[in-house]
Amino acid sequence: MIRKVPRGSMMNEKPLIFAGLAVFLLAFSYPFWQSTEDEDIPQIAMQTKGEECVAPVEYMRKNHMKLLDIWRDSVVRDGDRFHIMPDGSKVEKSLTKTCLDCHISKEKFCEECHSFASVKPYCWECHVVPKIGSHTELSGIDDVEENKQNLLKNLLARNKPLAESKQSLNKGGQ
Amino acid sequence: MIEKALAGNRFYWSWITILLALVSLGVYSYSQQLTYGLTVTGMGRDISWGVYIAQFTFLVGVAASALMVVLPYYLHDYKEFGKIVIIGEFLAVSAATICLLFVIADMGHPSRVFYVLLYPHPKSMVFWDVQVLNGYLLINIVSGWTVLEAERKGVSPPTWVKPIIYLSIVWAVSIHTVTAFLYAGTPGRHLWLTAVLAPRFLASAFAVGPALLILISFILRKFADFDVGEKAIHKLTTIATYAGIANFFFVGAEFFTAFYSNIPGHKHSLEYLFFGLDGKYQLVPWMWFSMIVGIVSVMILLYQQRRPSKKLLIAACTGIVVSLWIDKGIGLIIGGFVPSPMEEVVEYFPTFIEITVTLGIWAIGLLILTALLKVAVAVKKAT
Amino acid sequence: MIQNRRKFLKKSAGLIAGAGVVSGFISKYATGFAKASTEKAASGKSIRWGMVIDMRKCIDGCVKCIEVCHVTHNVPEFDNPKDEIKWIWKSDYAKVFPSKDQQFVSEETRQKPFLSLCNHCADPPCVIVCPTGATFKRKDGIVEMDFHRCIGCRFCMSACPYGSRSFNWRDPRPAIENITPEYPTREKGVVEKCNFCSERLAKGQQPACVEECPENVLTFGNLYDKNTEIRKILKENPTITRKPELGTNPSVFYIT
Repeated sequence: MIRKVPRGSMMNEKPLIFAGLAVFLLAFSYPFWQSTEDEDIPQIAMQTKGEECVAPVEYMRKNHMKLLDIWRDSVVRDGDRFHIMPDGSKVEKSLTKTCLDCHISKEKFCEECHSFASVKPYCWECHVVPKIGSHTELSGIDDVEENKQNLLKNLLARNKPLAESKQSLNKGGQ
Repeated sequence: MIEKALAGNRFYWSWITILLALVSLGVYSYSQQLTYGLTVTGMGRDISWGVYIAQFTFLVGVAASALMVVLPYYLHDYKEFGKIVIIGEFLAVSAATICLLFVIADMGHPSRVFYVLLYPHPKSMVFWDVQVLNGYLLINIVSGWTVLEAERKGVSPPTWVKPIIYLSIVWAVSIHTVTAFLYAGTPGRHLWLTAVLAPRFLASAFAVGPALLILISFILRKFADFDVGEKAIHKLTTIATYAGIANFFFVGAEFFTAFYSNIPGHKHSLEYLFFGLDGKYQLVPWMWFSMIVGIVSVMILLYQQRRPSKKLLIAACTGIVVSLWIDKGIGLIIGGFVPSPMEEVVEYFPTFIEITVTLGIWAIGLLILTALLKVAVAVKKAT
Repeated sequence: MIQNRRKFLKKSAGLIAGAGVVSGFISKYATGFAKASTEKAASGKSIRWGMVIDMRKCIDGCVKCIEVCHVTHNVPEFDNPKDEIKWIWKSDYAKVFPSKDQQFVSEETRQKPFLSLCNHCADPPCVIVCPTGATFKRKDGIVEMDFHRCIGCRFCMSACPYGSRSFNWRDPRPAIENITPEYPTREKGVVEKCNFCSERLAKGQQPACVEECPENVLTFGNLYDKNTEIRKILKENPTITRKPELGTNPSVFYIT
């Protein structure tokens, strides 16, 4: 019952298969070898406050994500929280506290380019944008005081004082 | 060779369609879980592992049980297992695959699954479990497929496959031992913190696996007109019987240690599972059902040695599988979390989404098994 | 380069030692049974943060420490107890110390609310089970979470014998009343717990709960420094830790 494959037919298909593969690979790798013209890249409005960046601008353009990655590991895992600036001064290794302190607009500084490059970093799933930006809108606070009272009420309900639990115990006993 | 899985009668395709429907339901439910988080399951702060991890534990056992056909056939040259050994190996492949799927289904951050390899942490048992499970999957698919292909071509299998097969024997023990060590090394979870856990896992696996193989043999006899041979079934019955006895012996030993020593922590989980604790007894009927059905099934299997009966054999094998699925697939995991470290008794109810994801993953396993067995049977029948 | 090489060496050494159980034995014998680095000489480190909780002073019905902790760290408030997240909370004495003798003890004592938080154990079981090193012990003894690396397997929750860990079963942001921008929130699918306010310690501040407590119930300090307040209290008072029989060596001590 072993199916006999005629030798010839397989050989004839070979060039076709490889041609198809080549077309696929070319199409697949298009974004990698197709260079983008410089003028397409959005010009980032800097709005910088400080004079100097934590690293040369050219380096930051290409490698800011690597730097942030190194920073977060060194802060969280090694407890090493400070970056030494080229002039010898110290700044906190922090996207929110250091980067966005100079480049004040997250929308212009981060998002314009990221949406152009179609990358979606997940920094803001957890970190909170300082001052301007979506922070206030995010927490949707109208009445801070009222919210504080709510929290206190919830906590008190959950961490019942002894007197109350004793009462409920007595009730249960009756 | 794989094209053989694409030829089948109407019944075969209806079965595939049902499985595919279950898979799509599971995929839909899983998309919900991805969107809203694991809050859509019944798991919570106190019972933080549920049916997913329980299925995983049970299925590692099913995967490991291929050992019970590979070992006699290849090491002891037990020729009667000639037809069943490939079924055992392919059962292991499908079981190991869905083990990994259950682990991923249980993860809070599935997109980070490769962190386990990217940031290896060899002191963690999970690290080793991922290694051994993937390795075992690979070993079985390579050895099973190669031997089958050689058989189809009517030649003897290549020599390099022998060492891999021997390796699979040791490897099978390792997957279930490491899985037991996931649990047996956690301080404060008394139901798991027992040296007898790994032996008990192996015993229950070697009872469930052969019982499943017997059931599969009968299904193949009925629907695929393929007979693995009476002698093979008889031998599998013997293996399942004694493994089953060993399993219940270990369970008894657990009871003795807990209740004779009278140490509260050791007793609590067993009390919760079998008698109820703090007025909560959700699992009590399940556990007694499992215990009684399991012991009765083992007794029937023992009786099979003297007077075989096909009907009773099927009933007993089903009994063993169901009993040990409850014991390992529900009781052991949930029971380990009750009472909680703060001595609270919290109960766990799986949700619809959780159950459909579970069914979907099982259906993926059955799909893989069906396709692989279709190929195996077609090749075996042709030679 | 050197950094990388060191990392590589560390990792490969880990892999070799990780011939599984063997490594466990080596470290156990190296530190000696039960003693487990109670002095800095044994560990070669100079800081081990710890806390003493003097429950004699704790006021019934006061939740100031809990409130300030949860506000500082953006801990969400969920109605469903299944989804609950807590870093520090009050629970009955009998639940916090289940292995303590409960014979002939009045209901009042059994139900006395005790503060419960991560013990920052010297030998933390949660750390060895973590497959990615997302939870790890810092040089100063704090058991820290790296939320970027957590895969959400919840093995640490199974391993922690104190129930100190919570999982983000759902997106926490909608359940935070006022977001404190200085500390990140978490996303769904990661585990979290008390971090001994490591972010405040870095600035030379005390943990928020210690600072906020009106009755000085909580004392925080370096356990390896003999001249600290905390060591003085430990010397002068009988203290207990939770489940000492498990050999985790908690850094949180209680005066009952």
